[in-house]
Amino acid sequence: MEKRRVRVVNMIPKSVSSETNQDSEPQLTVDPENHRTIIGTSFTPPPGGGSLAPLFVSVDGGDTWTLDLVIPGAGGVTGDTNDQSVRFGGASSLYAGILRGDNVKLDILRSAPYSPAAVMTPLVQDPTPVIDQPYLAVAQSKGKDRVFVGNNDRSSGPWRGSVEHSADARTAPAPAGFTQYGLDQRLPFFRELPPIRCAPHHDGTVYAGYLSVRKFEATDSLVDVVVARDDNFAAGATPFTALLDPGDLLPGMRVVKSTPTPWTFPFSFLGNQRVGSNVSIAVDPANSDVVYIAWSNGPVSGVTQSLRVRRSTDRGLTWSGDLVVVPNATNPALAVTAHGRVGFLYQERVTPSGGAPRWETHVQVTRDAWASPAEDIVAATTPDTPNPPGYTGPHIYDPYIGDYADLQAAGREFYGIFCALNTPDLANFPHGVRFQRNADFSTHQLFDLSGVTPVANSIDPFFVHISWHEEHELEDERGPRFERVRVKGLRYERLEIDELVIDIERK
Amino acid sequence: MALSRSLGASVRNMRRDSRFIFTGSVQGVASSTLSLLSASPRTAVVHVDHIHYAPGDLQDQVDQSVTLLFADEFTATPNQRWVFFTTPILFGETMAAREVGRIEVPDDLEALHEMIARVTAEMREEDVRAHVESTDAIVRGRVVSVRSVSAATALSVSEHDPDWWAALVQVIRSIKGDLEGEIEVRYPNSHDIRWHRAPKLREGQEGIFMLHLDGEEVGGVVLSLIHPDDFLAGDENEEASIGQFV
Repeated sequence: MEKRRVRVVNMIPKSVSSETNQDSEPQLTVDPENHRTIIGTSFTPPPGGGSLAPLFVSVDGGDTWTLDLVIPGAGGVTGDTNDQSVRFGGASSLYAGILRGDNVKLDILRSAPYSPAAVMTPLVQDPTPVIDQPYLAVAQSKGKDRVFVGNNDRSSGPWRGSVEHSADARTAPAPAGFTQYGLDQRLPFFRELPPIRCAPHHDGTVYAGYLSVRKFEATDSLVDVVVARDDNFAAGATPFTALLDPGDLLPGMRVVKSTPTPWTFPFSFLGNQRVGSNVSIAVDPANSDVVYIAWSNGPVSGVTQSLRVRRSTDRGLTWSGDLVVVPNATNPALAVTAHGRVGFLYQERVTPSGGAPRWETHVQVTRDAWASPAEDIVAATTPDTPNPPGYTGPHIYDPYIGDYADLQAAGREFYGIFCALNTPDLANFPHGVRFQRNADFSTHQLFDLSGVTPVANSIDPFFVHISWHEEHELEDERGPRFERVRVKGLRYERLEIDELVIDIERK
Repeated sequence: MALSRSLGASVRNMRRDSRFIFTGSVQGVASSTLSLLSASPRTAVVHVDHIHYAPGDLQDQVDQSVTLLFADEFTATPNQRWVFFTTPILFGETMAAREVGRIEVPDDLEALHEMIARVTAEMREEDVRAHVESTDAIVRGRVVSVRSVSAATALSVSEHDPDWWAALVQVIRSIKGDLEGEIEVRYPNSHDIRWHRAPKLREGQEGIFMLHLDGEEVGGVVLSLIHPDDFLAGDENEEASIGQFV
């Protein structure tokens, strides 16, 4: 019988127990060669300062985490590396797209293979600060890593959705052939919003999802939700032009036209978190005809922002209606396992009756595209405040929990990362939580490395792992304290037992 | 007893390349307490006996065990004590650091500590000097009023937009340059991660304004504050420490 297992782990290592940083905006990647190696990022400054920002690294499947100071460009005027995105390729190669802290320019980095304490090597260093929100996707094909970096680029005037692509990022010398392509050919052109997301498939299909503005209004921007497609790893002369919208015969299917999203300036907020532009896209690894997209929508009927999900089963040509709508939510992250389970992570702001607002981090899992109710896993429910009760000051910076979270599928399992308030309170973690940093769950208090001095609450990255196992597989994980006697298919005519010893548990 | 000249020079150079300096006792040779750093002849687990220099967030490493990656093939022996000059590289259950260098524990540990503190102070002064040299003007002044000068709209903005505001500042005295009367200075009012450390001015504030011509003119304002230390609510002593580099 299949049983689901949910693990939630606070990713802050014990040796930095005293930290109170607002470690928001996370991302995560799983090594396809070894699922026990997982790497994450967030707005975490280097402990002790310096010019190398950290990655979060686990080599035991997410149970424990280490900060590895290997991202160049920290420090400078801002002091912190800005937007970061990481993905593994083949042969345990690791790629990162970052906006450096010292000069806010785009770097595309590589470690092939990833090696602890080895500073990542720049493949691309953009000469001018014109890029926003670099976001990586990687597909392996014929021994090569096809790396796609979605980004928003204002080098030619208005913010334009673009994809930087390399056909062989693993072995080619810098700049590894990275070439940039604009996605949107429609006129009049206003701008794309920051999130430009790619979903490559190993058969060469690459989807790109983005929000293209049609009109600016007082409380929102009207956008087309667009999905573009390439059928050969963007290797041709006109990348991302394989999917033409029958309405205007231009590349990029408009899944929804002129729909509001709360992109405004000054920015719109859900509680402490700014909102207004979210996109996530995921392709079924078993069938590249099937693709899902999630995006931000609102304000509608007094709800500042909702998330919506739709699906195409014919390579983006036609789309379902809304499969799921989540009001007051942000940071959608979609993933599809090799066995067809769809995971949808998001963070929903709820106000319990008589209570204070909270951020609930959900992972919905469906096997039938929400034809029946999905499994709804609440990984965390935490107060929407960075400080103890009574504090009314502002949070430290935007974004509060992040302009995105992340969910990845590896095999038949989901690996996710989200940011939330780090109060050590089991009531905040319905499936339990493991803290590495010093924490007292009875007093709900964090402590420094000595275990004596109290530490204030702040935002931390959390790892969530969702897996399904046959019941006996779960028992195997109990560890060496347990001995098992299993008898299967016992057949006897005459049974004689001289001695039978069964040790159940050693304490 | 002061350190010898050669030792002092060595300490001075190593301090500049280090972020964590401590006297430590070797506990485990060719060992490691982190899964990401394999044990080898170049690693050892060292107890932090005394910290000579560390940023604030590393001060609690005292009495902890750290794994050192030695700079050379160093045959450590258990219970040996050294002064280690290091830079942190990994933070897991414990910390790991890459050795910059080491010296034998001197007889006069206090002299060593003072030398390290002196070099640290020199480095801070150099930072102040570099910061002063990067400015186009410095004044002591008082904020009269603030206003938005941002031209950003939903069309043009990114999450990292600075959201420029301008402060009208009454100059009390000029420290660098010859500004006088009332001047306008621009600052990023954004709380985005890119700008949250930059000064945020409000009416009535008095202090030292370190001003830059950043090549932009926004709302008619050309002078800007962008560095976290571009506004200092400092007294005359701080003003003097800045003025010495003008």
